[in-house]
Amino acid sequence: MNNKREINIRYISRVEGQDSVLINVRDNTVESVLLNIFEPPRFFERFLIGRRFDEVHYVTSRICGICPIAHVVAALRAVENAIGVEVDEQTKTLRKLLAMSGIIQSHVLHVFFLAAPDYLGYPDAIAMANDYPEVVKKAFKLKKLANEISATIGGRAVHPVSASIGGFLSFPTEEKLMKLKNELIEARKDAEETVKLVARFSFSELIRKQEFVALSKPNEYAIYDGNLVSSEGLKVQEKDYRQYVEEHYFSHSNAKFSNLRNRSSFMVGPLARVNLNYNLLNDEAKRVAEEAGFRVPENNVFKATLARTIEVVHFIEESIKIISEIKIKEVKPTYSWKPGSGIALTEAPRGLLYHSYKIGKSGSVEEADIVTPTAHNAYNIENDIKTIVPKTLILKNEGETKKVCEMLVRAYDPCISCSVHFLNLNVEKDS
Amino acid sequence: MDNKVKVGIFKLTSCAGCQMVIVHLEDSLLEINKYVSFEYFKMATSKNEEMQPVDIALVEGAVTTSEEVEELKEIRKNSKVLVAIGSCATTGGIPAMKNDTSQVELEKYVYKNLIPLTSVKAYGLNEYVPVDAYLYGCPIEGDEFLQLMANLLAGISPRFPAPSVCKECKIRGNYCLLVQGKKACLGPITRAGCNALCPSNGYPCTGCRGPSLDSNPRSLREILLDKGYSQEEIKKLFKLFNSQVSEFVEV
Repeated sequence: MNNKREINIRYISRVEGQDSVLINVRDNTVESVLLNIFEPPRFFERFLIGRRFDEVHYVTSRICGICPIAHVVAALRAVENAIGVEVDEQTKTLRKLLAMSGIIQSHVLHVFFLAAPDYLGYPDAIAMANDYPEVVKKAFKLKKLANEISATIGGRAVHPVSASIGGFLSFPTEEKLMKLKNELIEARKDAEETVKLVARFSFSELIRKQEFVALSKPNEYAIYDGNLVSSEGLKVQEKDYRQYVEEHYFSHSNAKFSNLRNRSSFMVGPLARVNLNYNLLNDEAKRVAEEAGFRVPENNVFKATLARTIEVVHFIEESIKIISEIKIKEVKPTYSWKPGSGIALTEAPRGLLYHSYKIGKSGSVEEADIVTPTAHNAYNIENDIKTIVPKTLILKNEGETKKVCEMLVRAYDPCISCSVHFLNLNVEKDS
Repeated sequence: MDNKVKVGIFKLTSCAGCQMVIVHLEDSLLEINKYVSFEYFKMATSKNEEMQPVDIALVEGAVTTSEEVEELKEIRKNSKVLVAIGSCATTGGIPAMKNDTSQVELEKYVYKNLIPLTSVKAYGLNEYVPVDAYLYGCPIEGDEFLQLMANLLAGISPRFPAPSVCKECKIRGNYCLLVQGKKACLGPITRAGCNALCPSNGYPCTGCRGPSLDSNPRSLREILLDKGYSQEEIKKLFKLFNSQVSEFVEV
């Protein structure tokens, strides 16, 4: 007897953007999994053509309202690499501080507002607030602080404006930085308690052999630049990215999915970073990780949420360090430039982000290519779902299968707007 | 609970940045939550079932697919007040930059094989349905959102004054990027309300809030030509956020 059925998760909520999962099952084996991202495409790479090089970061920040900072930083570095502009140490430090604030903000949002309601049993954080007012208050406080750092360094939290080719156009006052430092010191406790809270979540388990990919540097926990490394021994320089990471089309989904050349899908993001660069986390982060029972390599995909909280602790400490040491010199950017091509790899909140541009003689963009963390992860998410669905089918409860799949997709914190700056996936209509 | 005003937040083609501005309101959001219930807010809650009627629909994003046209009409049918939030929803914004290029060429650039797409040209909401109020900017301003909600809850139709960004720059005593810096700043023709955020941080205004009440793009064009900007450069600047705004494009 053919026992064929279709499980359709029509709309995954509490992720940024619009996606669905369609799973075809026959006799309790999974025949196919389609991750459908039906967010409409926006063709950024095409309409960047002809725009001036100094606008690229300003425009590409609009790819995503949750991680605009990541796009700004990646675009600036890629364009600077293309046109031969070097920036000073202060600029690099301020950009790192800005990027860290973006990661803290995004992680806190994910942990408290998108993931926690699953584990604590609520439809959303606002409903959760009635029973856990202290938790929600803490989350708001942490997120607000991260946004304040973004706004202080970048001029605005959503779509920052101060970071520019060659440097910064405006600078924070010492008074403001000191205020932030004090608030960061106060926030340590909340961040640590967040790790403890999340460590108590009863995570589902999905462990399968897979490759983690992240940036890595010898002496720092890399987010701004570095080599591309993997848990299977890959070590690639930034400039060689395209020789190792491929994009594929699959007829079943009409999507651009990434895989490593001659290898399979891979996972990027906080879990990959913590696994690959654990030794470079600061002592505070390592201590809370140990106390939370987090051991690398942690192969359970669901624990990505816990990895986020560990990173929050890490980046709070790093931000305190930067603010304590920095003496800001208000130097406006000056530079000369030449036409050329350049790429940049950075770590966005959700993982590896790739920007690449060719700038012509007139200073206009001639080619643009962007691959976002969610695009890097999409194929891996599908493979994960294929692995986990048979396990949940034993429960014979379709609702449970759907819930676990939704939680799995959410563990990646997919940023769908980002992934469809170019993607188009057809809407999988119910028959 | 029962007497709360029902609010839905919807997203069409956009980056979710305007929703993020709302989420970033934090304490104020909890305050608003005393008076309204968010019935529809996919990014934040899993209690989004079939579309139920709402009192206020806040819609982010441009309309870029035929499915979105239908969705928007459905939202309009089910809401008493429909508010367009952000540049994309008010005028098409950044996504509308693609309108100048043919769909086939766009698709060829991003796909090796042409696949069936359902994209149409990108427009603001009022191309398809009547819109009751607008929040401008890329992204919207949190304070203006709060004012809008306060007005709607009080039954007042929201009004946002529309002098130019220049006025706010002058009030802040900023260095003038256009006159002193010789930068191509669209402050003189752009609707205020952002407290001149970009120019205050050293970045010229890009016109994300659309034309001000007394907008005179023709005159600004002359000034920019005088400063050595080419017609082509000026056109690109005017079209970044406003490719569908006739006042800007006709110049």
